Amino acid sequence: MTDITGFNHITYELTRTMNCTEAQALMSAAVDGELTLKEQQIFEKHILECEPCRLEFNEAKKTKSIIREKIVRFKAPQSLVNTILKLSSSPQ
Amino acid sequence: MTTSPSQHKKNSAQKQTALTAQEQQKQQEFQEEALKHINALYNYALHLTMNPDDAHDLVQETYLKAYRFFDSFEKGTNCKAWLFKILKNNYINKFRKNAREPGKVDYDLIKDFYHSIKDSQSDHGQDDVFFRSLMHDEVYQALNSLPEEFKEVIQLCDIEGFTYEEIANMVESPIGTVRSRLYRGRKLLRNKLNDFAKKHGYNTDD
Ligand SMILES: [Zn+2]
Repeated sequence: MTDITGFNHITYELTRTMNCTEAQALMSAAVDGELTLKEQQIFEKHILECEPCRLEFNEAKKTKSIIREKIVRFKAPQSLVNTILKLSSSPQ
Repeated sequence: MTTSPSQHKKNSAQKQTALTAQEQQKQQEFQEEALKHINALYNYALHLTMNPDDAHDLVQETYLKAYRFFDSFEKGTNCKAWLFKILKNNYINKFRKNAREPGKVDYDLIKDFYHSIKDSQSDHGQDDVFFRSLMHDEVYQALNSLPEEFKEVIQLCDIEGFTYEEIANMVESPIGTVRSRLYRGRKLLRNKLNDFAKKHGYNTDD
């Protein structure tokens, strides 16, 4: 990436291409909806043009959804709930 | 909630009358804001300690501390993130600084649990063979086999739904570190999940 030192900055940001290393650095944030609008635009542009990054992005999204759906949530034991209710209803 | 078990009735009746309106308000706010996160905290504690007794103690101590310092909780910020941070600090103090080993990892209990539920919850509507071929306990095993720093951010992000900023605060690392740990962690996880899927005869190479 060349340093453009602010010259024609806005046009550059919207038209420049991103390389795969840069795309990978944004991959998780893209999966989690944590990209800025600008990052989102250049990231989307890259994965449209780059198949390996597109596949990797889809895999990362799928991995996230597997974790979300397959990890079982335990319920806190009632005895624990009761203890905490008690401690927060007596003066400290 | 102001009822108490009968054996404490006399004692707490005296105390209740001594409560100032301010204290009562604090109790009410605490129970409304903090108590609803108990299941999430318990799961987080279980993941950290891998032992139900330790998890129980950790959550109890967390709430005790949280209640004591509830005045310092900034209203309007994420209470769940605040509680998680307290729990994490407590865990570190308890198990790392004093070099006390957490209780024995109760893998059998966890495994039994996952077997008993099998895929009863797999009605997720995703028409995906790879997805469906994975068992709950396999995903759990895969997640647990990751190095701690990767496992932790995946838990906080994917299971608990915290933002990067909240996670960065909890793990005391910059957001960039959270990003790259999630990236690498998910890649590692994907490889482990692929191994399981292959065992079930699902070809991940196509
Ligand atoms: Zn690429």
